Amino acid sequence: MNTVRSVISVFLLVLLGLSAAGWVWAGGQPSPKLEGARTMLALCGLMAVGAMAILWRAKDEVPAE
Amino acid sequence: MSSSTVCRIDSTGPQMSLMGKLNGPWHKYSLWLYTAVVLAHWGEHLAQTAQIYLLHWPIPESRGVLGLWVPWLVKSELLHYAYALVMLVAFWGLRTGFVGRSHTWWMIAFWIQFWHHIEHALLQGQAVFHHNLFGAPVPMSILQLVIPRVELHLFYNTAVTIPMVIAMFYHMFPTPGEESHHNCSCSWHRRPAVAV
Repeated sequence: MNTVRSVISVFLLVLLGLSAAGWVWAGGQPSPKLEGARTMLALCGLMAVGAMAILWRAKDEVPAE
Repeated sequence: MSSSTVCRIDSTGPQMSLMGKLNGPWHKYSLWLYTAVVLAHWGEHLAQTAQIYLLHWPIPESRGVLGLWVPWLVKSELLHYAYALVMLVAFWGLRTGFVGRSHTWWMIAFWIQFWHHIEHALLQGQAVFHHNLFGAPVPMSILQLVIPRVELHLFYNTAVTIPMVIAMFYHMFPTPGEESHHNCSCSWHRRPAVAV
């Protein structure tokens, strides 16, 4: 179980990192849609964190023999 | 051994429908294939966002990986729509293999993808009829009025993929009660299969 959630977490951390990078990048853009862009990037980051919390809180319930 | 912990794999005989096979003995392989397609698509999105946010390339030149060599891939609304439709069909087609918590998360992903597909249908319609909404120079989806396309579709793909991944995770590691309803071999701790 730990192997599977570790692999998934790598993907989620990449997503989280790019969302954070996007947040910084968007702040330097003269776009009128800045708030919309940052809202979406914040939601991506929050979803990635939430998913990791769900994955790492799960218990491995091995069926009884 | 309790009968409730036995993973049942039905016969793959000719009497089983295609949907039965996709959600039974072929479920694991279908999900592997589907995951590979989704990850390839994600690779393109992550490459594109890295080009924009980290390498500071101009947005029109940030076309992911394949788009650098085949630019029309990124610009083709038909391709984007086809991918959204394939995802939607796969979500629907593979849903009955999921039970319990995994089914709930899988259907959350399905309904978010349903809206994502509507947005792409709107874009595809504008491309087909050469008439863009809101007098825009390019096809526009509804939420693009307030959100740039790159960030909007990064969000859509995240909102679809995360419940999908959680569904697959719960499907691989079911509770004993959920596993007793599995007709596939996806469970990580699967008991030896018995034909019924």
